[in-house]
Amino acid sequence: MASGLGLKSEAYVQVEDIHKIYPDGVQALRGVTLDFQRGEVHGLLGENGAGKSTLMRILFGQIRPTGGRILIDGSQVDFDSPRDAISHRIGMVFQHFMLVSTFTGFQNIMLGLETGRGSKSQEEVRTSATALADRLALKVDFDELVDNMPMGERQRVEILKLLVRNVDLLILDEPTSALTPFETEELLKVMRRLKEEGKTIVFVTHKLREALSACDRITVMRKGMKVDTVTSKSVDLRSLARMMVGRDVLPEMRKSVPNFGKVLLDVRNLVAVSDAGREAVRGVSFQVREGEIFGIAGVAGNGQKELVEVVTGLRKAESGSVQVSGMEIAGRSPQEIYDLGLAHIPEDRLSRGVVLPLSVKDNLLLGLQFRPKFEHRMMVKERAVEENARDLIRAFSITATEESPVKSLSGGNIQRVVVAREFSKSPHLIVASQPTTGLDISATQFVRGELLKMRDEGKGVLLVSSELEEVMGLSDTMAVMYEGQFMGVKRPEELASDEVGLMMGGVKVEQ
Amino acid sequence: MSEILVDPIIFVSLAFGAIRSMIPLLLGSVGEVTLERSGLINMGIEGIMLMSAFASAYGSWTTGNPLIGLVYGVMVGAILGFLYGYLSMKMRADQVVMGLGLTTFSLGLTEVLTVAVWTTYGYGKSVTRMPSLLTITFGNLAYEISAFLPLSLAIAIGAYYVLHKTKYGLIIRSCGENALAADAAGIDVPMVRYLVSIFAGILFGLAGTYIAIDWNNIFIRGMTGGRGWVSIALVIFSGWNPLAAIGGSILFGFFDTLQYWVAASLGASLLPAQVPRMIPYVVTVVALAAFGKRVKGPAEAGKPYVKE
Amino acid sequence: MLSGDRVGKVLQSVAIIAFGFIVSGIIMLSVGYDPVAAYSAMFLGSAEKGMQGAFGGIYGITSTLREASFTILTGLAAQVAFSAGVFNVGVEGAMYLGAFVSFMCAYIFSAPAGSVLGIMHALFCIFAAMVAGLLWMCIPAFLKVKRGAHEVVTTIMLNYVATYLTELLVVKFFLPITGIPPGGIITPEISKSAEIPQVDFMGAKLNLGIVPTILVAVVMYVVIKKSVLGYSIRVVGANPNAAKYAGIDVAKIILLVMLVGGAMGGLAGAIAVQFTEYRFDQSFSPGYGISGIPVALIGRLDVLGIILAGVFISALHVGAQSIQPVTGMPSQISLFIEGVIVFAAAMPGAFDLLKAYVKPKGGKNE
Repeated sequence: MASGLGLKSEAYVQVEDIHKIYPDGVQALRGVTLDFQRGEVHGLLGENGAGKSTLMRILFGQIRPTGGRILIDGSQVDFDSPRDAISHRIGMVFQHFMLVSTFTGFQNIMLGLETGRGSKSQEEVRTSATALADRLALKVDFDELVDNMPMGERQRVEILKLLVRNVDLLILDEPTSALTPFETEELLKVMRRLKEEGKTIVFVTHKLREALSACDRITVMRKGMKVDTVTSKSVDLRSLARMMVGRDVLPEMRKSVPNFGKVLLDVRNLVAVSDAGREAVRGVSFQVREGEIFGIAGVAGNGQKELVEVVTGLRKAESGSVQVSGMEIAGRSPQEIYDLGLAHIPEDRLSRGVVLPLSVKDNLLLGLQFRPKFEHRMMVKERAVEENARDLIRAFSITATEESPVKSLSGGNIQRVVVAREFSKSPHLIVASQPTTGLDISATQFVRGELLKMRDEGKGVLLVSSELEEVMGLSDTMAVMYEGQFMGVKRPEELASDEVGLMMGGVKVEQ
Repeated sequence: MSEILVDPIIFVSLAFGAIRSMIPLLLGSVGEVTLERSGLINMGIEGIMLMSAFASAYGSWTTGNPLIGLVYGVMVGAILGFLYGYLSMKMRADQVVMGLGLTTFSLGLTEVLTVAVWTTYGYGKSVTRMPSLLTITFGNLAYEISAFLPLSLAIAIGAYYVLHKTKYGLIIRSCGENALAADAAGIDVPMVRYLVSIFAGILFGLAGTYIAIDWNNIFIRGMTGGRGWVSIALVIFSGWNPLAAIGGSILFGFFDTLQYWVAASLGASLLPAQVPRMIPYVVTVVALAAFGKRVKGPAEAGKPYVKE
Repeated sequence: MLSGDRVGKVLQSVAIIAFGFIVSGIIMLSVGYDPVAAYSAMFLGSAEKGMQGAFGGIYGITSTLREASFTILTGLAAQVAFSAGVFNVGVEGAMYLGAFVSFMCAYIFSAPAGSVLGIMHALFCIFAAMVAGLLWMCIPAFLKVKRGAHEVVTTIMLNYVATYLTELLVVKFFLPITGIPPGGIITPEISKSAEIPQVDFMGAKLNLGIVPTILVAVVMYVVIKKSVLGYSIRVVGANPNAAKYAGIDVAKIILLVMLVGGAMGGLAGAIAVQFTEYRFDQSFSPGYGISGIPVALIGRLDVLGIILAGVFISALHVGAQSIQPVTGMPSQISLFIEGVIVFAAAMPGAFDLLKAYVKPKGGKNE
């Protein structure tokens, strides 16, 4: 893999040994060095947590690095804010567009441009924007409200915003995640045209095919480090996948022999739509049985969130059926579904999982307050609540007393509270969504251990996680979700690591 | 009631009364519209208006010059407006509670200061009024037109123009619609909100000044009579649009003036005096009921913006 | 009873009050008054002027206790609403409606005073007042739940409407009987059977309104702290999302807390009419309903705290009456101090700053 390309003297923008350690100890970037040339489309490939977004946000001035430097044409620069970066002709289009949806396309382009003496008037900006749009064939209706624009057009507004500000290096963060295939094609054409004008495009993605077809060079990142930089001509899907995912994916988390029982969750041809109105789940079918952990891997944003919301009753399915313990859940409220024996460890634990100002014991009561164990003639059985809290605190090693307000707990302990509460509902089926994000090692191991315990006790677990190791290590059966579909459903042991990488990058693997 | 429409004198009377009542409501609502467009809410308008009313009366009293009173009133409004914005943003103060506090505080403080300055309780001494712009005679009745009328109309139209037709308006509105996007576009969101807080405060100060030394010529306890709260309702009623606020405040002004007219002319024989006095408040509640949820205001209004 | 958390809350309340007094004192100084004289007049009275202040003598104390029923009740009403995240500023209106209805029931009907029927009459009037307050509160409550109308503005507007409405009714029906009185707009007296007499106490009269007030406070304490309903209310106030998740009907809870606040306001109105004035006096409330907010804020949403805060605020009001004759400052100074207190209570950020300053090692448990 030749990496001697891009001799320093030709390099336009270089990042040298960039480190980023967060105050809570998380190491997002461990010394990354790479360079971008003029007139190139440079792919940045990696899965969730690889560090690509963090690196780009540092380049865009949104985050300060804890080490390393950035050089433009050989001289070091220090960015204080995105405004700084833009004035140095570096701009970024985020995955979730930063547009004011109630403004028109043109108003969004105008927004934040220099005002005051010597600045361009609205007419001047309009003229230059129109010229740019024409020259690069960026079809945008300047006077249409962004709210009414399809995703592809919104993206073009974002790109125009940058071009009007004379940006030469454009970072596109997962740009195709919200686009239809046709819009994706259009985008790739736009990128090519920009490249011909001498601009540099950094194309951040986890999609292998697109990286290969659109980019001149690709840098693969994993776990905060650069794996390698290669030319797209010199690699194929499989080798890219292997680089992205690594040879050493460890499936060795102690599991007893599987002993599957009845079907607890039966999903058939599920179709669901996201908040933005696009199809997020496009015909998914699978089953979770007693004593089984069914894992869904995949980069976040491929429909996992919507799938979980349908199963837990927070979202209506467009079509298809979902049955929990044999009962169809369509039309049921979350509470009714819990009564069927489902427990949910939610993805956003702070907003949905706990009530921060209340105490641990009150949080452990949430959702259980009407049960006879805790209620007698409309009054709360205080002693039962306290005992319950103490038992759970002990059983789940929560570092707090039952009276501590949950908001003073660490992330790991908060998740222990959520897990404790959900498991105390004696569920048959547990839906765990990104259960270890933001947790330290011991909390992470704890949560994983608990899920395994549940499985060994004959419960069913639906595990949704963008952390591949976790899914591969815990699951009896796993699927990889990509753009709303399962790319393959297999036992983890049967999957070669490059196969997984392929699936996560969008390539279906034969069953 | 049909006499009202038929008798030109009464009609004109009412019309001028409506205009008089409209002015503080228009100023208050335009100020609040602009503020909410930038992403903040001020629930203490009533208090700010009252303090400005007092300050303007005091200014006119000590110097004998109502223009100085105007300056005092506007300054007090600007300072309080800024303070409110500052505390909302920096201290993450609860905007509703702070507004209530400010209002109660103003009621109390103005009482104390009234006694301190004029040694009378509940009302001050007469001060020099603002000169009127021109006087129109209808038959044998003369009606004064205040300078505040063209001023407030100009402000409303100007605010609309700036908000909806200029770059600066875009910047302000982006802070209220999507502060994150505004920040990503390089806008200093807190600074914008500070400036708008001052602007809104100035308008509230003008409203209070008008009530004290233009409409009347004296400071009286609680003379703002709930107009600050009505302004908040007007903001919703007008759909956060300064031009629509003109229409809305004329309407509300009409109801407000009805009470004076009834009290002055017919009295209990036609309608008990309390009924027209109730009308502005009832209308406000009805307006909120009708428009409460349907109209979508600036998305960020009321949510403190914390920089990452 | 006493826990670290509680001590923290008490300290916060004390800090808020201290802040209120200090800032008010500064302003008083700048205007030329003596804050020390003012505060001592407020709380201890001044013998030479014949005023007792809030605690300076038996008249003062009984007055403070009498006022306390109102402040505690309105504080409780505000507190129960706060617990669910709702701002109920409309207790004043409910009070007026309740007072008027209590008066009407007490005036129109009568029974032999002191008999069983008489006692039932009195209780009936109180009950009717509470129902009236509750019904009045239905307006802003349903508007909020069904139409999303902001409860602060609607309730404040309705307060004005309530005062005018009751005034209208009194003027229309009773003025011909009483004539134009020097004391303001009042009605004739109510039937004896509905009166709850004041009790002789150490030379002064003790108002029994404090009794139902404490009763209500106790009930509130039990409900909020110990019942499943109270738990649901607290969850709704802290995190409506999680509440929905836990199967709680958020809209129902919001309605409930507002209506209960209305009933409490109605009770306060009944106390004004049947325990205190024995008639309907249009000016009976110098803004009790609004005082409920500072009481709830100082009391920090804790029933015991509310009782103490209610007594404190009532002391403020009663003491303020002494200020005028003694120092010349108007009695509305109490409003001013209250306002500053509410202001201070509005700023959690200030407390966090203070805490960080005092305890530099701020950090989470691990």
